[in-house]
Amino acid sequence: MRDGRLGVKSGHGFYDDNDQRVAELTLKLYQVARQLDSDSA
Amino acid sequence: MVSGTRTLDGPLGLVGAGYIGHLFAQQFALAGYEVRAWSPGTSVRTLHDRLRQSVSTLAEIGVVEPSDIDDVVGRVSIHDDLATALTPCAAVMESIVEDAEVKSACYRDIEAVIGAEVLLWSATSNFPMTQLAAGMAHPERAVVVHPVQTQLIIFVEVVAGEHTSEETVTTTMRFCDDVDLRAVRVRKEIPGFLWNRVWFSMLREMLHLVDIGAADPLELDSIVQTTLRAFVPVFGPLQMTDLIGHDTLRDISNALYPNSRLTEPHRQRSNS
Repeated sequence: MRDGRLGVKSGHGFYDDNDQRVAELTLKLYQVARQLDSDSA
Repeated sequence: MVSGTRTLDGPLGLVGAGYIGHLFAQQFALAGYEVRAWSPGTSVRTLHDRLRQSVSTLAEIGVVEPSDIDDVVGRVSIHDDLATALTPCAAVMESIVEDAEVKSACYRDIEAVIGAEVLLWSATSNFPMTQLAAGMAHPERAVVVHPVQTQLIIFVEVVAGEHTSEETVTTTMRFCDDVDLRAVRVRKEIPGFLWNRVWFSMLREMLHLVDIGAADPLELDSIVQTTLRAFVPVFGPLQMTDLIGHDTLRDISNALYPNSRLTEPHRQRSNS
C-alpha cells in the first residue's frame, strides 16, 4: 500500500470519486484557496 | 414551514426548557406540532419570551413569515405540573440537567403519567440510554436524540439503548424528517456519540497545544478556521484521506499516536 492517493488510484477509499470528479473537486480547492487569499488581503 | 406529514398523532411533551429545550420546542412548533412544556426548575417560565425573540430573529432572516410568529409561539403551552403537561402527549423530549441519576429519576416520573406507547427522547450529550433507562418499566420506548447545535439544531444523533425497540428508532427517525431535522443513527452505543468524539478530539489537542506553550490561542484558532474553510466545503475529511492516501495518513497517525496505532487502511466504500 505504498501507492499514495489510495482511494483514487486503487479504488479502495471511502468514496467512489473517479478521475473527473477528483479533478473537479481539486479545481474547487484552488478556487477556495484563492478566495481565502483575497479575503485576508 | 408547517410540515404536511404527521408521524405522531398528538402533541409533544417538553421536559426541561433551558437552551436545548427551547431549540426543540421551536423546531417542533415551526413544523406545526403542539408542544406542552414543563420544567423541574424555572426555565419554563421564560420559554415564551425566549421563543418570541428567536422566532422573530428567524423571521428577520426570512425563515418564518412575520405574520406566523404568534402562531408558532402559540403552539407551545406552559404547564405547572408534569402530569398536566404530558398526559395527552404522543412523545416526550427530555432536556434537563446532564446528571444520570436525575434523568433516570425523571424518566420514572414521566412514565407514571404517560401511556406505554408514548416515546421518550433524551437530549443527553453523553450518557448511554441503556444506563439512563435501567429503571424504566418500558425501556423499549426510550432513545437518545442528541442535538448538535449552534443557534439552531444542525442535526441530531439518534442512539438506541440495548432495550430500545427498532420501532422506536424508525418512528423517531421518521418524526425527525417531519420536523425538518437531519437525523443520523449512531450504529454503536458509545459515550459521546459521534460529533462530540470528533469535536473533542480536536478541541482537546488545541487546548493541550496552548497549555504546553506550543501555540498562541488566537493564532491557533485562526489557522484552524482558515484551514477548515479551505477544504471542508469541498472535501469531507474522510474524502480527503482518499485523496492523500490511507497509507500515508496511517503512517503519520501512527508516528503521532504510537499508543493508538491504526493497523489497516480503511477500505469501506460509501454509496455516494
